[in-house]
Amino acid sequence: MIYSPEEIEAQAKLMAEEAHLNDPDIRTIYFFKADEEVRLLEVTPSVPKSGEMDVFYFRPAPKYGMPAPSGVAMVRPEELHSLSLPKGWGTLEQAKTILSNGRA
Amino acid sequence: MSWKEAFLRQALSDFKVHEELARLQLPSCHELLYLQMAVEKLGKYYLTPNDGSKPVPTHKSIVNGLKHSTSNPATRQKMGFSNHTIYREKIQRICSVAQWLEDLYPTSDDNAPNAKYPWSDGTCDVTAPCDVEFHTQVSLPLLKEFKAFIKGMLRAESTD
Repeated sequence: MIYSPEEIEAQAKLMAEEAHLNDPDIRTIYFFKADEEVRLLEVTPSVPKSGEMDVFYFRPAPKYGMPAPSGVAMVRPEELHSLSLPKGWGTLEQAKTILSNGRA
Repeated sequence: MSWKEAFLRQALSDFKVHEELARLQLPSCHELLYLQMAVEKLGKYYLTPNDGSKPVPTHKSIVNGLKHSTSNPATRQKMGFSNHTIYREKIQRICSVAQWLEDLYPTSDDNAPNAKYPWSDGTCDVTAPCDVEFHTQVSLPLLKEFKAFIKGMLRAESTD
């Protein structure tokens, strides 16, 4: 299913806000544009060092402001540039920063 | 049924078995094993893409799954948490139990304690999991809190 860019970005902002409220240590959240799902990469020291960038996927929940499916990856700041981004997400340079240093 | 739905169904079923085993007062390795299996499948449910493809194989999905769930307002609200601080503190607390469970996965190391296979301490002495009181290795209230949270997550993911 294809969603409008406005729907996708609104949901990305909602999820970024939720993530920041639940993890104030988040430094940066990158938003990768896609038509079919919301894709976020959260940079936070509160996750264990993993050596790989796993993506956790959530189903849509329209009642809660999440009409589109979503995928969230989390990475420690020191691993950000050493791990490969999820396939198909593009590059960090193509991503939009929707939260930086704890500020939207 | 998709891979995602199937992992959630199996996680729910494994958790039910865990609860049944917990009532039977058997050696704690048995209920622990089913708790591990339920939580592992819940982690795999989250790791399964929404496009229907299979998840990446990994056992290390419990702690990460809990951390990632903090980005999802739907999960939090379905579980009845309106206060972000309480939700955040709860996840921080139960992550220690999640880490303990992850560390108890069977590995190729014959000397590593786990809930499934006997292990050796490096000498001739071998321990059977059924002789170990695993449940005394973590605080009981924290273990109960973890189980209640996982049950809440399973319920939340099963409802629209």
